[in-house]
Amino acid sequence: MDVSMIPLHSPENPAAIFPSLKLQGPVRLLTLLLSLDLLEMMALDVADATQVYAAFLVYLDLLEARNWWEVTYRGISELQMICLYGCEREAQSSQVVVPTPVTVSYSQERIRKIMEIACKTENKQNTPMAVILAIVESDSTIVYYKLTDGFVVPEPPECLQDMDNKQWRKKRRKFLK
Amino acid sequence: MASSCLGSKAQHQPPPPPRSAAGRLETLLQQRLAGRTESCCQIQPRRAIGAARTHAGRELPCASPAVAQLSCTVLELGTAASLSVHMAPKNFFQIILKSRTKSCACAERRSGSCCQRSVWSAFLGAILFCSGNLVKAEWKPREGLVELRSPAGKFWQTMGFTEQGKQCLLPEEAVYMLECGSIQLFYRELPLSIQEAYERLLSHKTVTLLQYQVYSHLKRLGYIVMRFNPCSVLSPYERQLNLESHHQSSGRLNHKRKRSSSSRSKNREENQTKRIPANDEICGRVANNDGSQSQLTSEQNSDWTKKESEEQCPTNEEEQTQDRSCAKLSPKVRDRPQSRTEDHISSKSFKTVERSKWDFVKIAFPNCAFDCSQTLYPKPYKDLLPENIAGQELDVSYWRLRVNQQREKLSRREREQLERECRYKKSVNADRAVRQCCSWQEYKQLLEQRNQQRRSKRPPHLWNDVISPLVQSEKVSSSASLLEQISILRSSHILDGAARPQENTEVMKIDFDVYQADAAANFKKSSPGKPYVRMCVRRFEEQVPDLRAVKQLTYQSEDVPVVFALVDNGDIAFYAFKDFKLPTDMYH
Amino acid sequence: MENALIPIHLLQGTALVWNMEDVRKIRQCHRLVGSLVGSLPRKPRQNARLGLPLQLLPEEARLLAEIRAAVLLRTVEHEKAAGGQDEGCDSEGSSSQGVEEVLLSEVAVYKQALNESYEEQWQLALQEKRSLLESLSEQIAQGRARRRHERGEQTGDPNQPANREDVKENFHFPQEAMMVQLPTARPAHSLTEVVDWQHPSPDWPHAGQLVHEIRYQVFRDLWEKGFFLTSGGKFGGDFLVYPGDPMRFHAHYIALCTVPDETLQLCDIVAAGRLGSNVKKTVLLCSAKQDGTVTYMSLQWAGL
Repeated sequence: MDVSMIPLHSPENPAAIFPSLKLQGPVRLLTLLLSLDLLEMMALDVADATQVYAAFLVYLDLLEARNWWEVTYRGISELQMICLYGCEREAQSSQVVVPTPVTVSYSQERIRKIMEIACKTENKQNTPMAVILAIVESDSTIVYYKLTDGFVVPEPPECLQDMDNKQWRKKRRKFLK
Repeated sequence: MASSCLGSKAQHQPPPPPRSAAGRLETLLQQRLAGRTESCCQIQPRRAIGAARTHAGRELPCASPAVAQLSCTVLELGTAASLSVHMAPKNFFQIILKSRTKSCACAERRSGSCCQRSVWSAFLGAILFCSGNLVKAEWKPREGLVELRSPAGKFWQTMGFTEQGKQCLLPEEAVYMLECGSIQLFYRELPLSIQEAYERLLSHKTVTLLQYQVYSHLKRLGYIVMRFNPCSVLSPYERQLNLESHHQSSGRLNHKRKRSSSSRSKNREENQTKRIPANDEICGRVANNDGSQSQLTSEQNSDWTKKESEEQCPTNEEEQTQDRSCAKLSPKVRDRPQSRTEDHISSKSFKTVERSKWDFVKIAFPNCAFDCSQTLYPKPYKDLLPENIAGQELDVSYWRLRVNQQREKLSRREREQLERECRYKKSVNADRAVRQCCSWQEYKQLLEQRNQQRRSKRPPHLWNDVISPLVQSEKVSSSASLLEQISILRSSHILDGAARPQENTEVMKIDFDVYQADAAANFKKSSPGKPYVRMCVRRFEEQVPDLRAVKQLTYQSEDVPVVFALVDNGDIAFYAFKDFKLPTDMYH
Repeated sequence: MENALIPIHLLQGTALVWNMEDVRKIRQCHRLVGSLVGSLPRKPRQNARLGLPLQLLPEEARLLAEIRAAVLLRTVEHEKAAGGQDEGCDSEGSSSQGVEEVLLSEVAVYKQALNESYEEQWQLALQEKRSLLESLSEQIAQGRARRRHERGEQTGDPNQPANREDVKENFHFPQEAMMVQLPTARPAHSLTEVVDWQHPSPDWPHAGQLVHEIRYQVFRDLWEKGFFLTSGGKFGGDFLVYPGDPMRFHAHYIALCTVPDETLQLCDIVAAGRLGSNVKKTVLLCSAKQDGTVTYMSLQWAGL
């Protein structure tokens, strides 16, 4: 495919939407390769261009910065969204990532619907439904928050005494050296 | 780990065994009292007598200024039950280790229940007090205040007021003192329970439950809390005139008036509307005054003493009429007993006398320089001299001979600087055209003319069209002013436009003035001085105040920070907005 | 008496419980916490631990009323109690006769009780003093003997029994030393009215308000799941959810209640999630449907 197919001033051009993405130098080659993915994503019958672009940025981030495994994307026409699937580590099970621009606001009903539909394809019976919300800022900063159906018990806070012990051990080790 | 900690804590402080004499007496007593007054209260005795005794004599130094964050955290520390108040907060936190998992909790149950028991017993404190230590007071619903029947205790230093020779407490003060076991409150000859006091004394007319919760929270921390009185806040103009000290002395009167809050709010409204026009009026007049004064000074010559005394009289009169007009403007303000207007007048006339003595604009100092032909100086005006010194006429010709006329020796650096100044800086006076001007007016005209000439030389398509340079070169004197000119967003001060009367009647209002606890020793109710902060009590569910509301509160409070006390089901959190000024580079 | 309804007194829309026994029951039998808001008379200079009254959340009060464990009460206007007359007139003329009599009799009863109490305390104090004297009698006798010896008297010890009577005659127990009690709760005889929590009124403005209804449904559902709840303002949520008594557990969840179709800004979700992960709690997005079913979603930082 030819990259020049993207019209320069159209909103689909990432550089036009997000000027911070610089298409220059050695990065250009990588970007060109990935642009193929972007083109493919755009072809997924999702009308919302900003969501597509957010999905692309998250896809880039997961692949390049976070080193996720087997990252794939899927257009879900019911939601008019692109969802990403991948594994954080090699042997782990796959997780659902829902990319979204920060400007969108969701009702709880909508979030639940996204969760149900995006998780439907994953055939996991035992674990509760869960998605990772990837929120993309206008400067392409991405934050990830995990949404799980039902209750998730938080990890216990570090015990003050334990901490004291650790510190004490550290001190002792230093002393022994 | 946590459990052992808690358990050991509970064991450390077992319920104190009844002490021999007093202990037995008390136990007997309480058994009997409990039998009789079941319906009234709950009595679960422990060392009530001891408590009553220590209570009377104890002032706990536990007021820390860092209330806000701490209180939130500490509220969670139910387990700290058996701690004494003297324990430092640090220790508190070592004891709050709580278990997170259920299994852990099971293991802990035994010690936990023991700990819980101690908590309950502490809550069920008997409220028995030695009647001699209780100040008797009576609730007067019509006046909305509490009148003391026996002399007030130590709390009188920071609470209460005197009305018609009687010692009185505001409702919130009375409820707090009752909760602390310092007064016994009567209504219709019968003692009021705390519950009744809440229901009768706290209302929308006096202080709401919400406000009272903040009040008692702050009081418990040792702060001195007074109702906010808008009249005690000076307008910027008043502060400019230095009326501050005077207001402090009249603070007591304000204090008396403040007891009825309904009239208080009315006063404020009047004040807000009246204050502004009155001030404008005064400002205008003062400006006129200044103008005439400056003219006078320019005309002044050597017989200054005479002129001075002549000129003083009309000014005085004018000032007085001004005060009268001010009084006329706000008749209602004047109607109030010993109101501010009167203070205003007295202070004003006081000030004018001061000024007639020492207005430095009008005091001319004799010129004794060589180029002045006059050598004989008249006697100085008597008012300018200290009482015990007599002035006399003086011939300065002798002194003139003794003036040191040697040339000043300059250091090398000073000389260099001088040279540079000569080279690069041009005195305005070097310009002949300027020297020909004999007044400021002519000089300004000259400048205007020159500007015109310069403008006519400019290419018209650049300067006279819709599009013009961003920077007007003749207006730029420094890089700071240049930056100022090209800035698009301008910073504004919080008080900009706040003085405008607001149509919005649904305004927030400040509820309390809060004074720091460590000032308690030399705190005077009559002249409380500037509060540490002012409190605005709000519900937690309410919206964050908008800029207009914040502006208005800041305006009401003047230079004292306003803190919002948000009450969330009894928990109180404090928040404040801070005015932030962007730093500017001074060297530009 | 076990099944007696707990009286919850409403004051300016706030639910207060004034009896310590009730507070204990609410906490131990009904797993509801509330928050104590009054000063502890023994330690009036701190905020770490507070005393009665116990302030209940509107949800807590409603739950107790709904499970028929408590009844919401309001105090009948004092003016009405005084026969429709102005409160200000201190038992003079204008108030009606009946109320006047009741009042007078009450005052009489109070005064009598006061006197009896004084008598009793006088007796007790006297006993105390006697036993003190008895325990010290030997020393006193020795001291007297020594003094007599010094003065040169040689008489025996006939005064000793008379001494006891002296104690009674000379014993002075001042009124000021009498212990009196500052009651917390109101005496039972004052007038109250039951408030219906299902209908909004000045004393109970919460009924029918959408926010309250949603919060209540979530509250009740979580409570039925066995959690303990407190108000969650300090963590920016609606409730803090504890797995057990808050005295012994840290909160696990910060519950945020929203109407199902109300939109949430992603910024707010991020803010809540960030705060939650900082304090090691899970943010619980709760919403309740019309039919009363409550759904929960846990929001946590993904750690990426």
